Amino acid sequence: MNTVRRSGNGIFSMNGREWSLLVACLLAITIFSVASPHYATSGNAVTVLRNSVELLLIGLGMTLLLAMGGIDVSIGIVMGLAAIAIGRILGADGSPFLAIVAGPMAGAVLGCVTAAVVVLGRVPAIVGTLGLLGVYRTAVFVLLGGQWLSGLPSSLTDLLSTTVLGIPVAAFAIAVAYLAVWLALRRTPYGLHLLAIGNSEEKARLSGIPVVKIRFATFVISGVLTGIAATFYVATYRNVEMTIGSTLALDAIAAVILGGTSILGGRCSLIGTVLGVLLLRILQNGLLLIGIPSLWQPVVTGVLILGVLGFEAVSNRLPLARFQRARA
Amino acid sequence: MTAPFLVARNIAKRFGALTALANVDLEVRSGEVLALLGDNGAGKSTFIKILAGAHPPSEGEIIIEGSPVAFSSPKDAAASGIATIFQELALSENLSIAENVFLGRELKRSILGIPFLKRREMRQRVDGLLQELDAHISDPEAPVGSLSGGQRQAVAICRALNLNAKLVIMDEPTAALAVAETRKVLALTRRLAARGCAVVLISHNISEVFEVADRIVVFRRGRKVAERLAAETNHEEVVSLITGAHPDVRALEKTN
Amino acid sequence: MLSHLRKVLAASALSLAVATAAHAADKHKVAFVPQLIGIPYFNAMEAGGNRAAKDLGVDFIYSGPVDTNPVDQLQIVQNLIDQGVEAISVSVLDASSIAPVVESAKAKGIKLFTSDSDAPDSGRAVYVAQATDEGLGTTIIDELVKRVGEDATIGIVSGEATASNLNAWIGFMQKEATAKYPKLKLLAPQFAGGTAERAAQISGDLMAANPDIKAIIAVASSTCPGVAQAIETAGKIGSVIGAGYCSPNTARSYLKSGAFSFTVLWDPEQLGYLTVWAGKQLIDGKSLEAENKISGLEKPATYDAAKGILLLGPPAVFTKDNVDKFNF
Repeated sequence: MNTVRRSGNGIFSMNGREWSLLVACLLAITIFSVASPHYATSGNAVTVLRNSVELLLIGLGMTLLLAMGGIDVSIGIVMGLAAIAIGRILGADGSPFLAIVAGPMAGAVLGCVTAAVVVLGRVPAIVGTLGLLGVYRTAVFVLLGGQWLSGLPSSLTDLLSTTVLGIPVAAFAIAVAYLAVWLALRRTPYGLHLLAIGNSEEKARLSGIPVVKIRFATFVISGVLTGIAATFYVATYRNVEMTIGSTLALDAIAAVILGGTSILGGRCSLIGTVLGVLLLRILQNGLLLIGIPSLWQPVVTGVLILGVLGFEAVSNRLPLARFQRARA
Repeated sequence: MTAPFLVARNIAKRFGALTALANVDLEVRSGEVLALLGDNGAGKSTFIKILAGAHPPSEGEIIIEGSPVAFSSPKDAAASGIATIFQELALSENLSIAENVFLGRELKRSILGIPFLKRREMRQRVDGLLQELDAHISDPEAPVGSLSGGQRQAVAICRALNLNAKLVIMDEPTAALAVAETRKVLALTRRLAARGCAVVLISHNISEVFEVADRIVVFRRGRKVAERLAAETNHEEVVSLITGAHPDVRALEKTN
Repeated sequence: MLSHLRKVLAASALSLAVATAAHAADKHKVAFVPQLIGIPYFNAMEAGGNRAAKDLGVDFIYSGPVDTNPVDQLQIVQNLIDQGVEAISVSVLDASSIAPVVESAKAKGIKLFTSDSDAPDSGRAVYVAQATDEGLGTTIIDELVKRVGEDATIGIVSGEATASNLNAWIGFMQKEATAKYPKLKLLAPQFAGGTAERAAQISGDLMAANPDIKAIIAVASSTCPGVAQAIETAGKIGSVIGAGYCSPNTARSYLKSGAFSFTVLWDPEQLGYLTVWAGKQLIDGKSLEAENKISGLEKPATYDAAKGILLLGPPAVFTKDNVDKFNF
């Protein structure tokens, strides 16, 4: 049993892991700024933040799924399918308002499909979503019919690249999503039930928690967040390609684990996920700017994750942790 | 004597071809600690799982305060005032004491149709309950996983009290505890009964049972073989009832 | 596990294809395995292959991986060998690992040849080339210099680092630049994998890291939308030009918006035709002439017996002026 104090009782309160991530981000920024004269510019900061939008939204949903002891490896392709829905609507009549509704709606529907398979079908999440990954992928092929959606009208881009009170719409969307997920997790019965299920589904059931309902809802929430991510994707790239989202699920899982959420469930950190996503994106951007070929970027990410998990494994074997476990 | 809180009549449970329980008649009274004794596999656990709503009985009926009930889940049993503290406690180690005590029955207020937790009220109620049970826990915000075994029992009992339980079922509450902690849990058990709760206790420790129980029921091979008032029996008799050496048990097992 | 799933999907699609083909009984069978199914480029090759099959009276089998995964591709080729397809052509994803499959084909008397992407040392029967790698590499550099001058910095965004054709083109770009334009600065190639999102991020980072950049070359067709989108998003239309090896359909809107100046390619429909024609020749045991006039093709195909390369012809340049004449 892990005896680490739960983090995130305050909306931005941080524990050790989260502080180390923040330090890692700042350290990376410092190194890149020294190494490249083009790094520390406001334009580049905007680039990094814009590149983080989809992963942040999907990461929030993935945090809930992992906290519940679930996972969704098909989530990137779910974003692809939602993006196709958005793209088709944009291409048909160009109405950006309809397109904005279409993303979360498509995400919710796909979330229901995933939940039906995994929760109602009683299939382990990793197996069920792997199966769905293949199905969704084929659906992308069929729906696109061999023709990419490219050069979509810019109406959605124009709508979502505006600023409100000087703040970009994307930043608003992420703030609202973060606040909503944080409130749900830390201030409503839903959050307690989710964490109890992540700790032990059997015990949660014995405690009278509606396990099926909570698990179902969580897949739908993750779907909706992914649908919003798809809206920003289409607005940013105005393009839906065949391989859309193929790396997103693993990136999201990596960021969430880096952030301190337990892959075994029961423990999670939203602020950690945000910092994990930012660290990944800062590294991706910065390594390229200081002239390291993009080929090496996954290696850096991989080593980072192994480092964090390795450090945790070692520190769990230290005398203090042993003492705490003995008490527990 | 007052009417019993719960009457179990002719309860049987079969798992496929295996008969785990047969013809059990039992009464549980408020304010009284009833101990269930028996060897491993005697049917005690199956019986309390039926009372707790975790298993439906294959035969028989359960009557609570005069009306028959049929539980299809632990939630149904809880609604009828039955709380079960399982051996594994069913606590969520990652949640705090207050969160565990209220898990599944949180206090909430609705803002814009969204149910928000009343966190301060839940904390206060739990602090009150812990005080009443004389359970000292230094950090009520700590996750339950960091508490000792006895403290976890106290949390589980708080949970039962908070459900307004009229019957608390305890499955070997002292099995994994050190001596000092065992004493505390036994004291808690008596305090529960003093509050007017009915308590059903499963234990393997006969001296413990004599310390807290008012009545003792012995199970053997899926049947109830004896029922005694604690004051009217002794250690030796109970042991012989459990092992089947007692003449009453032998007579019973011969006729069947 | 993931790739296993894909294999199952691909294999089932394959058996379906073979089952349909077997229906037509006793005709010679020629197969083509693309790098990725579902993209417009390979769809056009499939169309050309079908046209040739009709003209030449053979059965044409088209089957490939749903992701640019070399292992899945080899599995599909191996399945075709096991099913006794007489001539199999492959657009090779990983040249280093195909030799054993060529051996196993030879052992069964099956003609295994490459098309679109080569594996020169694998022992393949012939390579059906769309254009020489040299022709493509030099054409794009020459065309770029015409537009941005000799004194310029140019970025390169490729797809998978293992795709031999992409790497060969990059090699010839670099050779051409060193030989003819000593002042031209070609940046080290970046690899975006298969997604437009990553290509856009890399392009944005390249522009940030190199403020004097004049052009970005999208080497893989899947990276074209990303490169173009990044140029549009950065507001650099006019100051940075995009170019690449992508189909008219993919590039059309970017050519028209000005984010792309031109793309270099060939007509994959014609390449598909030539591939099936070559397969038929191999099955019939006919030798290839130095120049082969083929009734279904616009230009004669030249054959280099020493290198074993059957060449479609010189590459084509698509601009906003001629792009609407093509549909692939």
